[in-house]
Amino acid sequence: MLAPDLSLGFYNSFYIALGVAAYLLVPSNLLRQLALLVVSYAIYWTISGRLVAILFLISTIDFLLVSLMLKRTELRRLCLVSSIALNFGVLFYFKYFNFFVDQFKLIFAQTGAAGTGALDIAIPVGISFIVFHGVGHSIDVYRGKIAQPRYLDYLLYIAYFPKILAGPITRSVEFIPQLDRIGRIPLDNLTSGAELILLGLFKKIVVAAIFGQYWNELQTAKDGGILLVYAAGACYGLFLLADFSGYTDIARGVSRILGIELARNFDQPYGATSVSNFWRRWHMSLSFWLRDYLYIPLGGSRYGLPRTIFNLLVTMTLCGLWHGAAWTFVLWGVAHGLVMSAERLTREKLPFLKLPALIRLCLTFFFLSLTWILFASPDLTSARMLLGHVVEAPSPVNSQLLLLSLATLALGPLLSYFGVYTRLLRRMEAGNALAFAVNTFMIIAIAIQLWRGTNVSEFVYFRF
Amino acid sequence: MSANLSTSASSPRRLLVRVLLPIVAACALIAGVNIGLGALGLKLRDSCWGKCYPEYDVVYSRAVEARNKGKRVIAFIGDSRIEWGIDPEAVQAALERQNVRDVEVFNLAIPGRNVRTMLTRLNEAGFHPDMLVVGYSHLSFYWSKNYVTEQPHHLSWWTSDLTRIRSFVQRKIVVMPYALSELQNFLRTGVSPAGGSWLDEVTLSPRGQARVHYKMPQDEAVAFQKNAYKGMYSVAMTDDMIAETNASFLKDMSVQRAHGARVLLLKMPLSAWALDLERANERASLADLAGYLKVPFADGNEVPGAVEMESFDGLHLAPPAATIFSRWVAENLVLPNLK
Repeated sequence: MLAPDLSLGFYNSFYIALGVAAYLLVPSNLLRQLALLVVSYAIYWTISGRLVAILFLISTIDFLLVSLMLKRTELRRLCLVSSIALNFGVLFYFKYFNFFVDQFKLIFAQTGAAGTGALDIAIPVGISFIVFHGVGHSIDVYRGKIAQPRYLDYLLYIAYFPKILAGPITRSVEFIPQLDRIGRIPLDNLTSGAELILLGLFKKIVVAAIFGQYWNELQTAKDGGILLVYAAGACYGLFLLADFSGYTDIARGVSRILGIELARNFDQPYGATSVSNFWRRWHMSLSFWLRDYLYIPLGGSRYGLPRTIFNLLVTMTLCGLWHGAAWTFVLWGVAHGLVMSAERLTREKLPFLKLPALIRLCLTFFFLSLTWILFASPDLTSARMLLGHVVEAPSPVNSQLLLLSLATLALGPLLSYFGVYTRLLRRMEAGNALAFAVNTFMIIAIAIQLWRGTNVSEFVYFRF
Repeated sequence: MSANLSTSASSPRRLLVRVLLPIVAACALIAGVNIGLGALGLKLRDSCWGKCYPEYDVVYSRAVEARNKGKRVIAFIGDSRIEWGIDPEAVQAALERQNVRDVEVFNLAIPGRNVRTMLTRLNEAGFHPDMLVVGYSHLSFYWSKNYVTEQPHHLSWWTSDLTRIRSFVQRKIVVMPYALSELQNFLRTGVSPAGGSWLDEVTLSPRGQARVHYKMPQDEAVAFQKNAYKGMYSVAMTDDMIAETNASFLKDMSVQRAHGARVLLLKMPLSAWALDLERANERASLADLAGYLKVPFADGNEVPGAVEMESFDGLHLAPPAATIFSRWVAENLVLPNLK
């Protein structure tokens, strides 16, 4: 399989700089949108090469189908189904075809029959996000939530460069109306956008690098029992939060400077006291998409407890599969679905079993940490090897591991739960002096980290 | 009406205090620490060494090991033209045929016009081979990059390396032919400027020669490189840039020479189209620089038949030609200068 080059180096900075310059200088809204569209396609081209044609074709065909849906009412449903089929067909081909071929090959190998070969497929970067944007828009137009936009607006909605690689999945109903106002940028947007970008870079280059390093070391460690498994998963969880929320901050910051507000993705997720609550705070643009376009259409919680549990399991399994064509992701989704079902069951049938909030907080973080190992492992064998330490005979407590575990517990759930991060951000928002100090510190920390030669890895969610 | 920035009374102050001043304060602090350490004669080491170049560092550690065992070490440094085109085994075999047996030859070149990076690294690591053969190219100096992170390596890069910034501005903004050559490459080959997919995986021999194959047909490979180099040479190379380059060469090489390394300059052979692209002053400057540094040199294009040497893209020698050329280098450049 060909690997896309995901470096966001000189070339993209160059195109972004050109685009922003054009954006600020051109004399009309239409030209500004055109500038953004050209920059967006140029950036996608630098990353995906010829596959930029796929982006254009999906967008154009989708646009035509939705236009037809509005013109010919008798074809509405057919057009919607066609749009969904087109998008998920493309997603299936690029992302899942080889996975399913591999599974068939395994089955045929067991029965002695020959399997078919996998295809050498280059995956367009951000295809999952492109598809979810497209499907969401088609359904919203079908439901009458938004009128069909102009072709240019729609192309820009799908290809808009701050969000195309890894979201946040912003609804067309929120995005497209903003295009009429993109010429007016309050200076405060420039300030807060730049601050968001700085915060994102700090999370990515400093925080994610530190916890990523711990994860790298712990995942191959030999002894430590359940404490090792927890610490490894917790470090990966904190790494992933810093990595993904860092990316989101950068994307939202860039977009805010351009005058377009993108959806929020995180709300102190490790402060959650249940897994259901976690999904209302983690990758919110995806979880709300799944809620609105999958879980609720399946029936949501409207048809009794068994059906609710079934819907939850389907939604979370597909959520896992959305992240990647691998059994590790499927199991991760199923595990979350099962625990959410158990929470639902307990809440409705056994309410007296409700534990104190702090215990629920820690248990939730512990569960999340264990399941992050599934998410992070390249295959089931690697995940099993690391998770296998859980059943090891107790060994003398490793003081460093204990310290790291306590640190993750403090930095993850406890500080989030008690609102420390939120209060700090609020105070920074209100006070220039504190903002000056924190921002200076972050710039220096980033510079030191870069000087140390830390390799800045690609953002994890670019793979999805 | 162009886009306008609307402001409230507090907006400019917020921007100043929250964004601009932190940048200035952080830069001032970093520069202060850097200048202070420099004044004290202390130098911040490049901590990328040993981490950022894993494959190349393995070869480097073999060279260090050989040196520690008391062997004489001959190291080649330079860009991909050296990395692909010098076969250390062939050089060593040629020397052994002349009864020179206590020598170990390594190719420490790193692709990406990296002579400056390599020299700095060798100097910082305190590694001084007995003979250092430097692959010569002007591009190596005013346009070198870090192979892995593409980040400059010193805190002072933004104060000391203004040439890099100037050339970047020239290439990207003033000199549009460079951008156009990228576009042309994409239209011809489908390879985006971010690149990465035009070569098969590079494998390094134990002594550091890269064995590489293009994924594209030969005519496309030639056209691809021709466009890229047209872009690079579209930058005006001024006299002061050449002078700065020579001074940098002298400064970095003087450290090696002070520690007893015999420094030689080598220019790899180029095919006709690449020679045409090179400006006359650059062709002449190898001899000038060698005279300036007082070091022996060899121009690969003076080897009989050099222009016709087998090359997939006109810039890098193919493996059979690399072996032939390496033998020539051993007999005509290395051997006569070996103490």
